[in-house]
Amino acid sequence: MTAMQAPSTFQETRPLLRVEALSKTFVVGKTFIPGSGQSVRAVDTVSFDVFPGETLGLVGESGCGKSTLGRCLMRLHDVSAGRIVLDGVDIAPLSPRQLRPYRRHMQMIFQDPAASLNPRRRVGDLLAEPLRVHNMASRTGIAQRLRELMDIVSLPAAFLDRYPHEFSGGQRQRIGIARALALEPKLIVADEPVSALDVSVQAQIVNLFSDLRKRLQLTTLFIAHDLSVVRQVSERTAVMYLGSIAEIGPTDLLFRSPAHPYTQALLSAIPVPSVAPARRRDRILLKGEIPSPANPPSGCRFHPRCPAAQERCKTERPTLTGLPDGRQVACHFPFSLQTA
Amino acid sequence: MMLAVLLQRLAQMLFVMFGISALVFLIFFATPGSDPAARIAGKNAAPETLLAVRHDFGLDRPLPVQYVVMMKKLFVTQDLVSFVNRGLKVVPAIIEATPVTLSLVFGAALFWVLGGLLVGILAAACRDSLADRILMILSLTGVAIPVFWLGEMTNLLSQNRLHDTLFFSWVPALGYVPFRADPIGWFKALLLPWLTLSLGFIGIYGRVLRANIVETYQEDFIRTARAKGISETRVLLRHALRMSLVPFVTMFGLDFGALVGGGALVTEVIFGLNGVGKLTYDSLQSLDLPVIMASVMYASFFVVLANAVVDMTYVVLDPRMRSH
Amino acid sequence: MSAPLLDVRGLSISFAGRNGPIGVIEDLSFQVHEQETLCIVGESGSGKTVALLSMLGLLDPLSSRVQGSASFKGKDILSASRETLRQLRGREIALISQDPMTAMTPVHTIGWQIVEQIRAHTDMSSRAAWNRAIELLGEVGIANPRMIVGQYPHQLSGGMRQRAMIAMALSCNPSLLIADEPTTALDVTVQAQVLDLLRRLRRDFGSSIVLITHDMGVVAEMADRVLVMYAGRIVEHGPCEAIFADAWHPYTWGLLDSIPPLDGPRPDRLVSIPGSPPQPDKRPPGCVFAPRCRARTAICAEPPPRQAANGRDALCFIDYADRQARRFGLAENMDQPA
Repeated sequence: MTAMQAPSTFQETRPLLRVEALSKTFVVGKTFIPGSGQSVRAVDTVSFDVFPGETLGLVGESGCGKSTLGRCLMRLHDVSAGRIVLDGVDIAPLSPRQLRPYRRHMQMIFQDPAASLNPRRRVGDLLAEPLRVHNMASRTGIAQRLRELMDIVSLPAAFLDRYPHEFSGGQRQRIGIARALALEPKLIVADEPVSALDVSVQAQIVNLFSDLRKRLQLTTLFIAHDLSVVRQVSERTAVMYLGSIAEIGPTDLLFRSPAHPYTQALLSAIPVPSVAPARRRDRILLKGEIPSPANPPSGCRFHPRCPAAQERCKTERPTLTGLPDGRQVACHFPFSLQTA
Repeated sequence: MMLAVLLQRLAQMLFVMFGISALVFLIFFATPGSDPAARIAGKNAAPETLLAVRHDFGLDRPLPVQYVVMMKKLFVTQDLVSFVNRGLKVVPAIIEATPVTLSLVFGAALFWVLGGLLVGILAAACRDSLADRILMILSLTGVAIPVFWLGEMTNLLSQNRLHDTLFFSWVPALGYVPFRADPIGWFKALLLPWLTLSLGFIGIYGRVLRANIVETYQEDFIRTARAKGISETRVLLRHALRMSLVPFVTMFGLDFGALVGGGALVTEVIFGLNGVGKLTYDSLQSLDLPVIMASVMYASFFVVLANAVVDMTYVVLDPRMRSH
Repeated sequence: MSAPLLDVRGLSISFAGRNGPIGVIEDLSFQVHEQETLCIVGESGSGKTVALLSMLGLLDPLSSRVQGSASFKGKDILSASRETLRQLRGREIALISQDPMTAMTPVHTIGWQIVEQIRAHTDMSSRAAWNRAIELLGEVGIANPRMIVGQYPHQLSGGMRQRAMIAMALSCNPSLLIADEPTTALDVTVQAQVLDLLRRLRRDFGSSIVLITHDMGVVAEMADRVLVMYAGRIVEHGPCEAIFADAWHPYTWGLLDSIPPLDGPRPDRLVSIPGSPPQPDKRPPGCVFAPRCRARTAICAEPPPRQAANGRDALCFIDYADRQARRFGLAENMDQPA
């Protein structure tokens, strides 16, 4: 049980990021007629903490709101309700102008590094730009910092003079990471940073994330749909379904004995790269697909697809509740799908 | 829902027409040397005459009042009179010119849509072959020939030099023949103007359509269609063409609206067709605000209408637009 | 075993490049037998999709050059006429594409597209074909086929669209189904449903399936036999169990080892393959994998031999005696990009 207790040391420190009852509502299909348009709650009353030096994995299927949540934290979206407390300051209500001094403390790493790097500028200029904008260093200081950054992401310093298109996908993602790290941010939000990469290259970047965490004590919110990648990089994992957190807790615990039926189904659905029967989980084949967030089901959002749903689940929405083992789960009947 | 869309369109049209009319009005009065009183009164008119004219035409009233009066005369009482030629009632003039322009543009549009489709589809079907290259060069030539040159050449041949040959003996004298009076004469009078006006458009539309079809051929669904084992013609006509028509239709809406709104001026003048283009041109020459205003209103009506039709065509062409 | 359904020998494909032809596929030979699932594994650019499109005659003849032979049910398909190939496509060999979002024509209904395929190959009436489409949609697990048949692709979710694609592919009872990354664009829970469907269909319809994927998990779950492709070549081939139990080629080792495990202890670092796959015009002479290979030696500058035994083979110098030692003896993980 030592592995499980490790994260509890985080809980004694002050969280670097505290998200309280965060919601984000989009209005779609609006015309000039008042009252038209439909509001879609992409993120629905989400609360969690991220502690200094930890990586929190955020998993879920498409449309669960994980990317929207990440963008809200970066304040790339306005927030509909709730607080985002970064190092003691609530950045949720700040205007773009007020946000400016805080921007350097939070950086984002995107899925497609090619799309986020200006093709007409050399890597050196791309990396130096944030340093200049934020008046971080003198000219010689910048040159030194650039070499340092290239070293951190294991690229030769000579690459600084090249253009993004000269690099492979993995190398471009390294550059994207270097750019995010340039300002020594307190928080990194990585949105599917490895999912566009080939399998063999993916492992390199996953390793780089592990290295960075140890070497720079980086605090990261790692958003991904691939559960095995999240397991590899994060101390704690949160599972999202239809805009809300279904389960959040220490990664090892969550993967070994998932409490929420959705987590169980999700884990069991992953094809295991082994033909040994012992390594296969009993598959829980979910029926149907994720409902539209524009028209979510009543009660527990997962109940229409849940193999363990009962009457209560149709009417009463479960809240995220702590269990004795240190995780929180939003389910009336946790562990009810235990197959063993 | 349908009603809401119609209402929205109507509101949009009114808004556009108001905006354009206000703009034209303001530009007119802000243009140096445009003072209508001075023009009406003639050169070196005495200040008293000028004042009298100004009062007579209501030009001494505040601009907003003048604007409202002009709009009222244009739309409600429909007795707006030209500043230059006091005998000319503006609304009947426009109504008289409209069928000429509409006949010209509708006919030409038919030619250029059919021609553009034919050129585009043929070139795309045998893309990268010699036939494709020849078609594209011909299209480019069509685009490059200026309408005034082509029109004058046509007239030179059909009215003068070769008029008496078998080839052009059917061509009537320049000018418009009303459809009601003589449908065959109408057709004869307009055939050469139609071809002249449409040639450049056939070139542009053919090239654009070919480019779009070739681009659509890169899509996954074309691969799926081929993998289904349907014929190559079917892949082209039923799968690639439909998706490629959206830019074609967009262009058509803009061009058609602009031509009906007076853009066919050169063709109208060359072939002696007294259409809206000619009317607008003359009114601009003499800075005749009432006529300018009326023709601009007429033009913006057709431009907005053409756009509405284009939007509706999108919905027919692409079901993905229907949900919005 | 009886004669293979599809027998490909010495297939090479090159595309016209700015500086002469670029070889994309080199000397590809494989068979697909009746009622089997063959998985082709490889990363992007390994040529796995191109190889199968050439079987269907779907490569642009102006820019590509195909050599070698491929016979389907004993008939040569590489030299077949366009009309013969057209009749084969959709009827005998059907294709399921990767991304259901873009693989169906957006302007026609699901039913229209299925009917089109049925009517291209049979003289069924439209009405009968439409009813058949509804039946097929039901068979692929769509709950309300009568409604879905009249809908447009954009109105369906990704999973539903992929089911509709599969229904269309099955509409003429093809003997070979080529599925090009059919679940890559789908969520895991939906992927599980679609894989389950494919397994069931193979049982019920008796088609052979060629499944192109990059996911070793999907391979383990679906394959009877596996082809591992790298840079246009088959580097390893064999029965699924054998390859997962004891892979021969260092590239396969890398593919298997670089996947983070879902259970058991978390490794400190993943074993990764350094560098990235070469561009088709920049492939090294000798062993194509050598620059990224952890077990490379001086000899790898020469073209490697194809070693075969027990129904499997690998394109590598490492022989049986050395294999275990080489795979697990390399503790040092070269993680630096090449």
